Amino acid sequence: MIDELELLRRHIYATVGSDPDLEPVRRRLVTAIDEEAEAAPASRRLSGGPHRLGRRAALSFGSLVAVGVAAAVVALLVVAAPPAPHSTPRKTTEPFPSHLPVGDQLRLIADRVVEQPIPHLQADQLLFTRANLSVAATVNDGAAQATIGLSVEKWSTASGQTCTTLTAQPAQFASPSEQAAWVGLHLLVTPNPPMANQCLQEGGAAAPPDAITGAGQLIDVSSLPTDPSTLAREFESGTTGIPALDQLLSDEAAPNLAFQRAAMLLIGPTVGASPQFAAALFQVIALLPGVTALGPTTTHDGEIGQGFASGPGTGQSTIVVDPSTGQLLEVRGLDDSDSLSSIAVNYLGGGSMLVNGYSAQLQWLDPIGSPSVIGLSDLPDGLPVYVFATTKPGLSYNDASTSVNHVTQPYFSFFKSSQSQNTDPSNPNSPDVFQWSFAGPGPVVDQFIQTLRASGLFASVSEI
Amino acid sequence: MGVTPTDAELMAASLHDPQQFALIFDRHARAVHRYVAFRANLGDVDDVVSEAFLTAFRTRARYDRAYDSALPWLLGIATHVLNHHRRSEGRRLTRLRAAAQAPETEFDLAETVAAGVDDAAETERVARALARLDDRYRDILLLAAGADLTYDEIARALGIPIGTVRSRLARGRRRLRELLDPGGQHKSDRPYVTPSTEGTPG
Repeated sequence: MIDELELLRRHIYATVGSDPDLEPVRRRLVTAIDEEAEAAPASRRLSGGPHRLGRRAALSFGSLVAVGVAAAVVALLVVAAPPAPHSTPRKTTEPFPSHLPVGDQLRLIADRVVEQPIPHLQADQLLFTRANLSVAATVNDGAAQATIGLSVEKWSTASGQTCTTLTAQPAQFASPSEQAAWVGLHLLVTPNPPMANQCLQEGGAAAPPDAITGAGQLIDVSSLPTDPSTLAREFESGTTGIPALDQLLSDEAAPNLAFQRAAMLLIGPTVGASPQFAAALFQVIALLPGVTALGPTTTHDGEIGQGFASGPGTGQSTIVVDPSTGQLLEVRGLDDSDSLSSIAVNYLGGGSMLVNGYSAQLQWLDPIGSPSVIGLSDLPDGLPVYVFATTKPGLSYNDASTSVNHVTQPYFSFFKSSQSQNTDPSNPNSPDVFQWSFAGPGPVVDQFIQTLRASGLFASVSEI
Repeated sequence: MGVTPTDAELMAASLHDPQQFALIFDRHARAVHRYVAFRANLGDVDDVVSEAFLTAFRTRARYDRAYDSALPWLLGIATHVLNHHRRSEGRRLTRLRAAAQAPETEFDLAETVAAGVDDAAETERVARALARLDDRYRDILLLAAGADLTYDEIARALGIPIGTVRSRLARGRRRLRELLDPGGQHKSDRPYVTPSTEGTPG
């Protein structure tokens, strides 16, 4: 009897054979190599050596593969290139001086963070981030409780649009009685469907302040100061000017709000950060009263980093970071009451009238890898296409709705959803953001976008 | 550079002498091809492998030369190109998924899965189980079983933490075992424990 990996191994070997003809593939590569070698200055080219291709390379000139085709393929591939392995910072092999005072430890990490590159997002690119997390859900003021595992994937554009895919695992219970209480409220143990997709436009419709898990958007931090003292004051007073940060628990007197705000920016996704700003986040934490060092700390994914808590004892917020790079490995104990906002309905099983309220506490969040920059074409197939259009200045919803309805009427049957909201909710005369979703990309979406642009109603039209 | 240069050394040399990169191809093309061949449609395999190596060539300056072997890096790129060719794999997986959901008597073996395997029943059983696996588990299982990568190498290939690799591989194996033998009759001659960090899965 063999185990399943060995069975799979045999299956693969038996299926694909063992002696493929690689020469056609090799010829394509050698063509590209030859092009680069020809383009390189003569001084850069070596004059041969024991590992040169030599004759095989020389024979490849005038290969069957057309140069133009190869160049086009390469042009595509530059966009499609995945993050290089070293984009995920490696652990340092040097021991971290955990014996130092906590402030010195954090400043030491900041010194290393400032040397790390920051992904730069172009207009036609997306910032892709992933995380696994665990949330403690409480229904009807504690009548039922469960632990929910979530996987979150986010794709964000530089202009502030963010698509989120939230996948929920079956609810876990501490005891059979807790499960009975959950089921007694007609809640589902296995969410149906298990996935929620959502796309948001910054400043547009449905923009909750939960930047952590559910529908959180890309946070533009370019306006924030890099001076640690100034930034710490803004974190403590909630005056950063960024709603996702300032509105965090605005109705509760949590003692560690500044720590949580710094942690939220470590989670991201963010845009507009400089290495100096990334380092300043650690310098800010070093300035906060009560912060303690936990020493080497193991995450739920099994990684080991340096842990820092917002204060002594349990019930505090905690971050675990790779001390060699500052890469966040885990966050624990953040208050995120909207954690389940996008997925909660999937546990209702068609609508339980017995649920009159719920709350959620983020137990831990483990980012998966580092944020990576990808091309628009790398969006997965399962996501719907969202089209966003902002009316011209001075054109409010009331002014525009009739015309917009007229323009979009031929496409009504293709819409999966549509909504709109003022760019400034406090001003009904502010420009309006319209949002439509389609099941997927295609000529209808392209035509729809052209129609919107030709209408003269909108200052901007974009898709994600 | 020693008598037999490492991949890292070849990568470094290829920055000045691009033709050195062809030796990287010669070393690893077969392994990459095997990995891709199992996941792509037959007609797309060469294109995917070619794209993967061209991408690697164009981005070789970003290769982390702290690692001697470039194979995990190449397989990671190949995985990404496969995902980029989603329509290619999508057709295949759709077929597999349809097969997985069909009654036993209506199961139509996917063309590449069926090819070259003597034991059609076992092929069907494995194909059906693979089709039902979550993508996250499938990537890791195929890198472990098809390319014999270690935990650390899989983590490098996919850009995920090694802890995630360990947990997903353990869960993927458990899930695959369940799918291979829903009735629980399948017995293993090895315990289903997580191997050591440095070890090779399985």
